[in-house]
Order: sequence, then C-alpha cells, then structure tokens
Amino acid sequence: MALRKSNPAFLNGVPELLILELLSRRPMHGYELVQTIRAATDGSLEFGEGCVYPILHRLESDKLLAASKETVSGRVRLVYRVAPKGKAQLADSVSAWRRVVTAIDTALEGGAHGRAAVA
Amino acid sequence: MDAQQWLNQLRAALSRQNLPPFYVERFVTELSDHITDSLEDRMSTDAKDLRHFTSPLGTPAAVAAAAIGEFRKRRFSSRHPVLMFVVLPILSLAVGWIAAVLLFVLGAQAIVWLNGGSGERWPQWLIAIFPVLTGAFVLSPIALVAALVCRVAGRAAIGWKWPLGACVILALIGGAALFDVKMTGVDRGVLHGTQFHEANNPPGTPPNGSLAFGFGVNTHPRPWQVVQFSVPLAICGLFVWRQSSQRRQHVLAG
Repeated sequence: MALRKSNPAFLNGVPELLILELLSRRPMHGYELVQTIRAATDGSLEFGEGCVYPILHRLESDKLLAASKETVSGRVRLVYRVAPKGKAQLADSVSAWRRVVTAIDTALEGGAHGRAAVA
Repeated sequence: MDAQQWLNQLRAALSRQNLPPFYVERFVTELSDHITDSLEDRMSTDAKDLRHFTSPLGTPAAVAAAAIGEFRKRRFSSRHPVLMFVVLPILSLAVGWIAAVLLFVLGAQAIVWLNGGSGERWPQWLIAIFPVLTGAFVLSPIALVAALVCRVAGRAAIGWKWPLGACVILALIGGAALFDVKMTGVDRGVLHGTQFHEANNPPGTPPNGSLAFGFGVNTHPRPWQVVQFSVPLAICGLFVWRQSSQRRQHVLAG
C-alpha cells in the first residue's frame, strides 16, 4: 500500500499485516476493508485508498488471500478472505512485529545496554 | 476531476505501462465499485461531490504507480530479469537444441528401421523435405524460446527492452548455429548441409551418416543462418507491435 507522505517509510509491510489481520476477522470487499482500516487505526495511518487494491491483488497472487465474487447489498462484489497460507503468514508477521516493537521500545526508553554504553 | 475522467486517466496510465488488459479491467472495475460505494455512503449525487470524491483515492498516476509496482512484485521474471531474460534463454536454447538433435537421430533411426534396415533407398518425400527438416530442427528451439520470452515479458508487464535484449542474444547465437547432416545410402547422393552432393555408398553396406552441430560465421552466411538470425527479431517485433496495438485499443476503448 503506498502510504501518503505523512506516513514514514519504515511502515513498509505494515499495510499487508493490517490487511491480513482485518480480513482474518471477516471477509470483506475492497471498500469495506478501506473503511475498516480507517476505523481500526483511528485515522492515524493515512492510506491512498486506491493503493489498497494492488496489495490485495498481490496477496491473492501469493495465495495469502482468496477472492470470490459475491452479491453484497444487491451488487456483485469481489470479496477477499484470508487463505490458510495467509493465516500462517499472519501469525509469523504478528510475532515479528511484536519483537520489533519491543526492541524499538526498549531502545527508545534507554534500556540497560543503552545506558551502559552512554555512561 | 469527475469519476469517469479519473478512471479513464487511470486506465490510460495502466495501459501505457503494459499491464495486461484483464488486470487493468479488473482493477478499474473494483475502483469504480469503490467510487459508487463512497457516493452511496455520502448519500450524495451532487456534482460537487462527484468532482471531489476521488481525492481519498489518490491521483491516477500515484494509483497506477502503486499498481504497477505491486504487479511486478508478483512476477518472478520482474524480480529477476537478468536470470529470466539473459541466462534462461541461453540455457533453454541449449536444452532445446539437445532435444532437437536427439529427436533427429531417433527419427533417422526410425526411418532406417521402417525401411527394413537396408537404407538403399530413402523415401522420396524425405529426400524432398530434408533441407527444410534440418533447418526446422535448428530453427524451432530458437523460435520457441523467443516466443516464450516475449510471452513471459507480456504477462509480467515488463516492457520491451528485456525481451528485445533476450531476442538479440537468441538471434546472435541462433544465427551462428550450423547443423550439418550427411546421410549416405541416398540414391541421389549425400545430404550435406541441407544440400545434395554426389557420393556413392558401396553396394551391400548399411547406410551410415553423421550429424554435426556447431557454430560458425562467415562473410557469406548460409541462407538458413540468415533465417535463424531474423526469426527471433521478427518474433520480438511482432510482440512489441501487438503490445502497442493492444494498448492503443485499450486506451481508446476506455
């Protein structure tokens, strides 16, 4: 997902994680997913909405997502759901994300090693 | 910019980048649905809303750039173009020629066997088509690999430079290839380099022959070498022409 300039470049890979997580809760079509991302992140992460679809297509091509045509509110829509391979990928990504967040938090808060080095 | 303009600009930007028409169509349809949903959510059909609703989507150029980037990430050939368009064509050509030579030898053995092993008289139809047959055995792998490379490039929306490079390599290697076949026992002489030369097989001896495959260039190349050089370039030219023609049609249809 191409993030707007307001989002830092180190968020690479985060849109995929978010998409997999949100779709693992329930299948959604593109527009619904975009709205859910906005609601789930309290609008903190700004996404170019049109850029969500290419990521969905790539994840589908990588067999992490499955897409099927379904009638939603009287219209035929392409609904995405997480495939078994996507669930495994999500578990890996979540655990990797938690490790990174913990490590960065520790560094930012001046962990034991950081203090010793500065002293 | 209104919705239709926005979608048309996106379609044109995607088509210019050689994305396959089926993918462009799918993407544009999904975004069109997205726009409709957005308008329904606002319960508005005001002209002002129709003009401004596209801002959350991003500009057509930005969305097209994201789509192209993601599409290329999906393809092995886009991620490893040197392997796909330089190394693999050369390897595939070598494998294709080995297979062609084996097939040729097996075919010759089969014909000898069908003739009862004497080989005193080769079938006339075989003698007639032999020059074309030997040329085709060299040419087929070149043409197949060139077509395959162009197809892969087309599916990966990789543009024309890599397939052109691959086809130039194929043309240079293919144009230098020589396939020399001698078959005795032919009542019209010996086939040599797809031409007949007078030679007599001692009576009562089984037919023998030889097959040589190699590379060589001369200031006066053989006609088949010119064909072998030209075919991959012609296939690439056809591919580029087809791509640009499809792109034009798609933009016009949009």
